[in-house]
This record gives sequence, C-alpha cells and structure tokens, in this order.
Amino acid sequence: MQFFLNGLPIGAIYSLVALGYSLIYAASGVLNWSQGDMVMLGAYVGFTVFFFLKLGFISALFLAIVVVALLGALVQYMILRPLREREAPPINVVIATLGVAIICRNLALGIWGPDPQILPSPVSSRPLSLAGVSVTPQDILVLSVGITLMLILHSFLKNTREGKALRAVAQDRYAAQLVGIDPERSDAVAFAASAGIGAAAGILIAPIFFVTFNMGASIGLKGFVAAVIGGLGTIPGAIAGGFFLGVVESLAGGLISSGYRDAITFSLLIVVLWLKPSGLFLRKNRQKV
Amino acid sequence: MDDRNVILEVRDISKRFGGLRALDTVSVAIRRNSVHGIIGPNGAGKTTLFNLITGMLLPDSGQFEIEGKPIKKVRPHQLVSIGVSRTFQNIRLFKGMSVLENVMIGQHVHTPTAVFSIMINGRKSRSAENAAREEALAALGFVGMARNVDQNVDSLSYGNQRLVEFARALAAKPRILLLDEPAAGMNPTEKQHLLRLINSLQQKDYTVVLIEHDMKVVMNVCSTVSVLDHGKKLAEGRPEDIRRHPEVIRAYLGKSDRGHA
Repeated sequence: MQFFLNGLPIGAIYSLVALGYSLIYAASGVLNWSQGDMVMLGAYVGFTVFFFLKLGFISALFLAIVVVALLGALVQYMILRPLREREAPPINVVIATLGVAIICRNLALGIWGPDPQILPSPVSSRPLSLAGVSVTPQDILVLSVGITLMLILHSFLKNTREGKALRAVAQDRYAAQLVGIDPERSDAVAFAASAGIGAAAGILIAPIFFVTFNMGASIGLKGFVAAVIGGLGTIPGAIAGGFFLGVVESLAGGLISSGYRDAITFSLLIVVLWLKPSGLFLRKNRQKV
Repeated sequence: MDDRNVILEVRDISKRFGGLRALDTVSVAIRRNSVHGIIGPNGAGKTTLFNLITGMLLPDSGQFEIEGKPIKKVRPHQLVSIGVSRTFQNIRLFKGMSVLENVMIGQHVHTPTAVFSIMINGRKSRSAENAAREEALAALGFVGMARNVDQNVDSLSYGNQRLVEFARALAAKPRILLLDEPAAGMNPTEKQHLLRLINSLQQKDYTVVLIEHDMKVVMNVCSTVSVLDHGKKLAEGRPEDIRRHPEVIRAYLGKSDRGHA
C-alpha cells in the first residue's frame, strides 16, 4: 500500500510528460524527442525565477509554463514547419526534434552550468502519517497540481475553439484543412501545450530530484514509455500509462530492488509492445485526443 | 463560351499514379451559378479531380483558375477563404463532437480573433463565437437538421450524416461547392430532399460541382454534365444530350456497374 501511494506522484509526472508526447503525436504524427528537455528547461526557468527574480513558487510555475510553451510553439514554427513544407520524410522531422533536444541540453549547460541545482519545496517535506501510511506534503502538491493541469487540458480540448480545431486535425488532417483550419497553427498549439505541461512537470520534480542539464533524457524516455504503454496518441491512455508506470516502478523498487527498477520498466515496455502494441488501456473504438 | 461567366476553370490537368493515368489532360470550364455534374464509371478519375482542385494532390501538369486567378500555390486550408468547400464520398465528420460543433468548426476562417481574446473569453471572441453559432444554425436549418444540433454525429443515420457534412461545407460560405456523391447511401425520400436542396442552392447564387453515380439525380439537377472515362473527358453537354451520346452509353450507361461506390 505504501509503495502504491509512493508511485502516484511520480506517476503524475510521467503522465504529464506522456501527455506531451501523445498530444503532438495525435496532432501532427511526429514523435517529439525534445519533450524531456522541455521538462528540464521548465525546471531551470522555474529555478531562475525563484532564485534570481525572487518570486514565489506559484509565479515560478506559471512563468516556466508560459516561457517553455512559447519555446515549444517556436520549435514547431521554426524547425518542423519548414521541414514539412519541403515534404521531408517523417523520419527527418523526428531527427530534427532530437536535434532540438541536443541544442536545449547544451544551451542549459552553457547558461546554468554543469552543477546540479535544487529548487526548495514550497511545502515541508516532512512525512505526514495518515491511516498507517505516510505521505509528504510535496507528494500531495505534485499530485494535485498534476491532476489540475490534466483537467485544464481536458477542458481546453473539449471547450475552446483552438482545442476543437486541434481535435479535428488529430482526427482528419485533410478534412480539417478543407473547413479552413490551419494545421500548422494547430500543431503549434499542440507543441505549446505539450511544452507547457512538460515545464510544469519539471517544476514539480525539481524539489525532489536535482535539476541538471541532462535530466531530460531519462524523464523524457520514461514519459515516452508511459505514453506507449497507455497507447500513443490518446489522452486517457497517456494519463493511465503514466500512473501505471509510476506505481509499477515504485512496487518494483520497493519489493524487488531499486537497482532493477529501470530494467523492469523497459522490460514492461517490450512486453506491452509484444502482446498489445496498441497500448494497455485502449478501448476498441479508439478516439484520438 | 463567355469567359467571364466561368468561375472555375480546369485547364489540361494530368495526374499519374505510377503507371496509371488517373487524369489525362482534362479541361472543364464550370460556369457561375450552374450545377455541373461529373459522371463516369468507377475509377474514371472523378474524385481524383476533386482532390486536385482542393490541393490534397498536386497535378503533374495543368492548372486551375478561379475567376481567372490561378490557384496553384494555395494551401488547402486557405481554399475556404477563396470560396471553395467540399464534401466527401466517404463521410469525414469529426467524431465525438456534436452536430453543431462539427458545423461551427467550418467557420474557423470567418471568425478571426486574437488568441488573447479567446484565452480570456473576451467580448470580441464571444461575439464572433455567437455569429459563428448563428451561421451554423442557419446552415443546419437549411439542410433540415435544426432539431439535431446537440446530438453526437456518431449517432446519426448515414443520410443525416451526409446532410451535416453538407451543412458544414455551406457554413464556410463558399461560392463553389464540391459535392462528392452526396446521394450515396440515401433512401429515396432523402434523395428527393437532397435534390430540392441542390436546386435551391442554385437559386441562391452558389455554383455546385457534383460527382454522382445516380443518373436520376444527375438528370434532375445538373445543367451541364461532363463525362470522364479512364482519365479522359469523353463528352460534355446538357444532360439530355449526354444521355443519348453513343460513346457515353457504351462507356457508362450501358454497363451494369452503376451501383454506388
């Protein structure tokens, strides 16, 4: 039970990162390998706002989301759109996102240096005992902010015009164009939203893990695994996959050995791809986004 | 033919798919405010022609002109603002959205608002949204789907889904409406309804280009008919003449593959 609970906050983080992958994949069919680095940049921007601008945690969170979301839209407009206009093969587009990841990592290394930084938690990290299990206020913060962001994303997709346009593009890019939706703009919205939630994930884990320039690689990969396990390109799948992965990791680390944790995660990915490649949590009539 | 009366000109269009000549130097002039039928056996290149006009495919040679202006460099989503809108042979509505949402999405272009105004749900974005809603409701009323606005499109009958797609195309306020087999899968009553709709569109100053297998529909509403066969234009003229054209009878009417695609 304790291990199960410990898995939830990290699961929420994985869910947020997985949402980023799935949103972009559903909208534009691109696997965005810079997703993990948006998490890293979010953490650094938050760190900078917190220590150098001396603003509180909430403004750090908000500013990091906005700055990194703008960066995400920029990646779409400056790098991916020109490639698609030249009708580059999809693999080139994916490799370009890998390039973005490497640039981000080195920019971060240049700006913030190689030493790991830590962002203090806005709440105490002393565990509280509740009905025989212990949770830290930080865990509760991560979970509640994470779930709030998911709800905001859901309502954005469901109720706003840009959100509906994004869903339309995800379903049928060509038909959406013929009713006058600019798919590049929708892609930019998807990139911005993905980068923004990635940044939020970065701020949320910054007090738990160290902030380093190459933290994006591992968190990005875990988020991707979560997205695939849940069914790439679906919103509910990404959320379920993230929580599932978080809990499995925590159980594996607690009951087997924390040294085997990553091995178990990636074995799980292989098993899922082998037995049920469309994802564990997909109903029959799949609906993207 | 008087050139100024031509709204859409297809000029020497060719398209190959590998070794198959889907369209071979086809030229069609579509007059303003006409209902122009495109007929031909399955695989004649009718839908390919639509896909080329709407920019889904690029022609190997030839060009399209709308009111004398070439539309070569136009990206598909900009076509709506030029005044071209289409429906699909196999219905392509956005699933999981309501009838009204599907039609309102078609007015994206006509309601340009600042992103910021949308974010704060400001007055500008709300009034634009209301105008879009009015337009969408008017289009749905026109096709006779006003009672189903809040229904999910997945739960509609095939014929009604076609009507929603029709309304979506109309809500974009096109001057030229491309209809790809609008009567396919409709029962006789629904077909009658559709015929009346197309006729009243003509009175409202629309230009309609119609791909259709159902000869009754073609003979009833079209003022001009072009016949395609194996990517070539076989004949063109008034429906009465086309019906008697010996080549057309041989290629199309005489055969038994008149069924719905």
